[in-house]
Amino acid sequence: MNLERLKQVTYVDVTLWLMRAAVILLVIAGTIGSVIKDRYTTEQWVSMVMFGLTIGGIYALIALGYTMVYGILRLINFAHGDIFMTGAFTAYFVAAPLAKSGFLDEYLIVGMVLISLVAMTVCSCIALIVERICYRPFRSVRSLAPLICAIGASFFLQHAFRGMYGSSVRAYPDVRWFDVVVTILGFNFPRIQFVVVIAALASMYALYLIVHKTKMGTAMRAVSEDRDAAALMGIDVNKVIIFTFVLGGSTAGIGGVLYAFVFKQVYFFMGFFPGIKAFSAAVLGGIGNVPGAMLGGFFLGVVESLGPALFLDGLGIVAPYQLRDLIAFTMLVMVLIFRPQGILGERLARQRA
Amino acid sequence: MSFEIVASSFQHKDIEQEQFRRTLKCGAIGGGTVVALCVFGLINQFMERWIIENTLSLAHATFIGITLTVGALICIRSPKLSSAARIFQGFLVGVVSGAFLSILILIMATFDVRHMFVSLSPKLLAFLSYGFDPYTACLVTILAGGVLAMAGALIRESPTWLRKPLIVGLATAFFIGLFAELLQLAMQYESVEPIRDYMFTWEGQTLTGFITMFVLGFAISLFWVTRGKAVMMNHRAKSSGSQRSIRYFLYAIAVVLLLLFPMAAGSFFGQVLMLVGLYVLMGMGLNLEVGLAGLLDLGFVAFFATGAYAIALLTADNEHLILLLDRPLTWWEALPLAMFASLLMGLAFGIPVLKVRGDYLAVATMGLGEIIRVVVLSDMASPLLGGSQGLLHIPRPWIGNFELSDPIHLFYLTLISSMIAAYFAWALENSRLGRAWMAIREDEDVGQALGINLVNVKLLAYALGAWFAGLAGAIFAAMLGSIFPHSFQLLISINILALIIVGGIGSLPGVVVGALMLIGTPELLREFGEYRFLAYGFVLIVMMRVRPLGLWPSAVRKREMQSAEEAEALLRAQSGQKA
Amino acid sequence: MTIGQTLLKTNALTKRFGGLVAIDALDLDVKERSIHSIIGPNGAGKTTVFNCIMNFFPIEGGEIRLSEERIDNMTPDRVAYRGVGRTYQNIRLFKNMSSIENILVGMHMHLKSRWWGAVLRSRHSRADEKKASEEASRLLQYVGLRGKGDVLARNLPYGDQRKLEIARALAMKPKLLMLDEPTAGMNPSESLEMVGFIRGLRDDLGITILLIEHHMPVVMGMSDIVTVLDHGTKISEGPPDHVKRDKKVIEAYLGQSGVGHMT
Ligand SMILES: Nc1ncnc2c1ncn2[C@@H]1O[C@H](COP(=O)(O)OP(=O)(O)O)[C@@H](O)[C@H]1O
Ligand SMILES: [Mg+2]
Repeated sequence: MNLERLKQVTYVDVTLWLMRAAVILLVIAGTIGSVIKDRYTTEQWVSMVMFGLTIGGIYALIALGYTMVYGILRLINFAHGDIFMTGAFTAYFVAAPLAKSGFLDEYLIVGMVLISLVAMTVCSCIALIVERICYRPFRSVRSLAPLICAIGASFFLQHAFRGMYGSSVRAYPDVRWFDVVVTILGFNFPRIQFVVVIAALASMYALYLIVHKTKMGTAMRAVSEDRDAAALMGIDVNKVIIFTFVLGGSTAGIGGVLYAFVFKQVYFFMGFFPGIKAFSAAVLGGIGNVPGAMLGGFFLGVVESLGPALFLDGLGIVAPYQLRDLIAFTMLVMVLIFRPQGILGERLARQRA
Repeated sequence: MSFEIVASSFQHKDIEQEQFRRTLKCGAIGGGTVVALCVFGLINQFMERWIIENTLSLAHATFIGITLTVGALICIRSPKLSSAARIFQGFLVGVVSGAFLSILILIMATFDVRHMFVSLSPKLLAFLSYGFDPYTACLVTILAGGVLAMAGALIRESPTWLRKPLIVGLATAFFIGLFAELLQLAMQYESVEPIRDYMFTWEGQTLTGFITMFVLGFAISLFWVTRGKAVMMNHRAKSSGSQRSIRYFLYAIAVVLLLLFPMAAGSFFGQVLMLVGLYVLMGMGLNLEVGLAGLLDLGFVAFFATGAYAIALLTADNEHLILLLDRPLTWWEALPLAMFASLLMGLAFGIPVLKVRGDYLAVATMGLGEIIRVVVLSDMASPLLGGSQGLLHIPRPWIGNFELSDPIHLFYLTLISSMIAAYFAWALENSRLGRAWMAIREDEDVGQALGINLVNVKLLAYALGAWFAGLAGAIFAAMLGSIFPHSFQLLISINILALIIVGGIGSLPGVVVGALMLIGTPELLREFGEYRFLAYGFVLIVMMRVRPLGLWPSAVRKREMQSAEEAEALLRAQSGQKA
Repeated sequence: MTIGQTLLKTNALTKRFGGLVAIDALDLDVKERSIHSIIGPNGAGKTTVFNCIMNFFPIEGGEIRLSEERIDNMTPDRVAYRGVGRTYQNIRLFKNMSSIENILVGMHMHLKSRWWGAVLRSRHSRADEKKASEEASRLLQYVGLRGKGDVLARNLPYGDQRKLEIARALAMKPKLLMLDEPTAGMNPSESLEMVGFIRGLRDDLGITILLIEHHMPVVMGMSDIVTVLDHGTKISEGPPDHVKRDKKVIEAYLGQSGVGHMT
């Protein structure tokens, strides 16, 4: 019986097992190596985790847009990373004068709300335009056309904004209150990191309420279950799709502003890598799954931030920080291959992949 | 100018309103486009390029073209009106468009918005206002808009025998002017010197040249429009045998011209063609994966890179050289090994993602491709692969005592390789393997239940696709003489996928057309720098909207269109109506 | 009509979808050259039995044997190689391929030509192709689709699509042909034609038939053995006359849609 089963194992299975084993072994070996080497202080570890949570929160906010659109339309919005850029880049032109005039330091909350509103509006508008031009015409056709359109939109947005706002990197203003270092349990963090994590969590909670408690949210969930059935039940699918894009755009807008205040710089190409990372986060959490995207974002952020020091340094790799992206991409690929339904295991993803 | 003149010809109030809205909308499209071009900074670029030297810049031409188009557009969109009313509509649309631009002029004249919109420079303002003060400039702009759009409407309303030749003539003269510099580069022969000097100066096309070209285009088109039918009838009347021989004769001439053109055209064209050729070759490879087997692949560039790096490591005389003999291998000796290395890379990609489907597959392969790039770029692998310093001193291939040093020589090498790849695809399409690929593209489970070994068939698709990419990489390495990780961006994978889809997925001529369009044209417009990508994105979207099946759809895909429901859906997509 | 030894046997076959037990310890015994029908109300698990035999998904318990050989841990293509062909309840043709291409895909495993043969146009592979397309035309004619070889499968009328799907399965030269509701959506006269056709497959070609059917006249008229499934369990089995009188069967169907269906 066992032998018969064994006979059916192919070289493909063997390769996949080897791959999995290799990654796990490398991670374990790296971790042990790092522990033995003991290069980093506890403080450094904690600050790495905190930084991971910060960037993870931003990934999560962007990932929400991917995940919601995928849930509704079953397509990957490849232009989402650039939509994120448009908000952050445009909001710069509000943030800079506000900071210069001292308004931002004086009335921080009002200022931040203003900046976020601008970013959210811009992102939502662009998201709607992209939907209207690139996705809506192809809604009932099964083809690669929307994918190519999205790629086209991504190029267009990048270079339109490059032409519009210039190709140079713009530095977001410093805000005194954000840069203050607070001490908790003996560890020091800049305040901005807390702000980002809390703002991300708050936005997600608001989104959760919208999706689960409002009528529109219920309609959204219905459409993502079965669009045709939902339409038959009298749900205006078009409206739901528009609403979804606005929600996705808004979260991306908030993410963009937070990103800009953490990294202090915006430019036309800034959407590309966060976009890919956020997409990985969405896949990690199970695409189409809203809580999954949040979890995936934080998880990816932390692993990415800890990874180079924890796994790679221990293996004796030179310049492990160059390989930070490697960790994200490896996770993405491994998840797609071994657990396409993501961490939270969503039914929907299983059907697709 | 009162709206009542037009309005009086209407029966109902709501039609009138709709007409009004239509006018505004068309005007807004035109005006919005023009303003966007200014804001995105394209006009700044276009100002520098003459279509007619010292007379008409590309920026002018763009304004004129857009305004003519919206004038014609409103005519097409208002079929119910009388001809005169339509032409008047055209005028109104132009006025609306002009008003948009005027607002921009006023804003630029009043505020300094440059810290935000970097392109809205004083130079642009000067250009837009023709040296008038802002208010006069606005008036002129609005009036010019109206007149031009009316001209567009007039052209649209004129009879076919006049309209087509007009458009063809203008377009001919325009494109000759646009590519004046390249054409001059290609005309570096004594025999054509007089023509060249008559047509061009180094600044651009001469006015006489422009007029000549216009007349030429006009005349040929006129002849075709009026006499074309007779010629075709005459042709049809001939026996099918002689018809075919005429066709073959024409094909033969076309092929010979195509083959000779690069030699005559000089090395710049040679380089562009070389690049197009490389992308065609890779497109042929990816076409096996995506077009036939339906396996989306966004990590294709990794196979290309493998070929290039393998050649570099085996042949280039530097510290990273891998010695297989007591001397570095020659390019030809290393080629089979490089292609084999790519093939292995194809398998290495294919095996893990065997069970991944659809969009997920695209993302998984993209991830794998990026992993390769990050690793190659890192210091970890740099002792082996040279890191970001790249690998230098790659020799060129030799045939006997002849070094293939010129881009044109390599172009011919690429051409032959592409033809081999095309032959592969063509031969496989109607074979057991090709049918199996198409079957799994349609329905993987059913195919498997019919006895198709998914593992073998999919891996063959990856391996063969990668094989050709490896060949392309090997030629690429020889062309540049040195390679860097930066040459192998995700962008290349995207480009290849886009070109085979824009060309028409699964279609071999489509690959060539797609490459010419998406790779060749941007190369010719090099001087516009990064703005090419703006146009590139725009073209991708427009192409998919206008021709979702691609420029040259394969016969199979056309057949698919016979089915009613998808055809309808696509038609709807084309016309951009609500789904 | 000589019914032979066991061709396909399942022992305690069990399949679960999450909490739902789709098939519960099912024993099937399909004899060579018989027409064996599986009937049962909607959702009884009939199609799932086919999917399990074909190994479209792993089973939770039991075993499946084809001529004594275990086939329950093979990939579907290997099951196909052992001689199992099938059709689908909701027709699954390669819609964008022509009829003849559909059949040629069905012949995939009997064609010998390799890809390099196709590229080099070797004599061997050309001969192979030629033979294959001749045979495909013969098959088309056999199922009554003569002259429709170049029509795209999606453009065929519904009845022809069913026939083409059977032709595609026949191209595999199966020992066991599994038909999933072949007369669904047909009118009585078409159904009758189909009955004759299926019987011909067994009588002329000696193929064993495992049939899922809804139309009782069809089932009762031609089956040698009928197995009745309800909620994944076998509630009755035997020759048609026996099954028709079985109380449990009548109950299962009464619960569904009445006895009227049965006659
Ligand atoms: N792939 C699947 N995933 C989940 N449930 C399934 C799947 N296929 C079948 N089922 C369930 O198994 C039960 C039996 O289905 P099926 O075999 O199709 O019934 P039928 O007898 O009508 O052919 C049904 O309740 C169905 O919902
Ligand atoms: Mg069924």
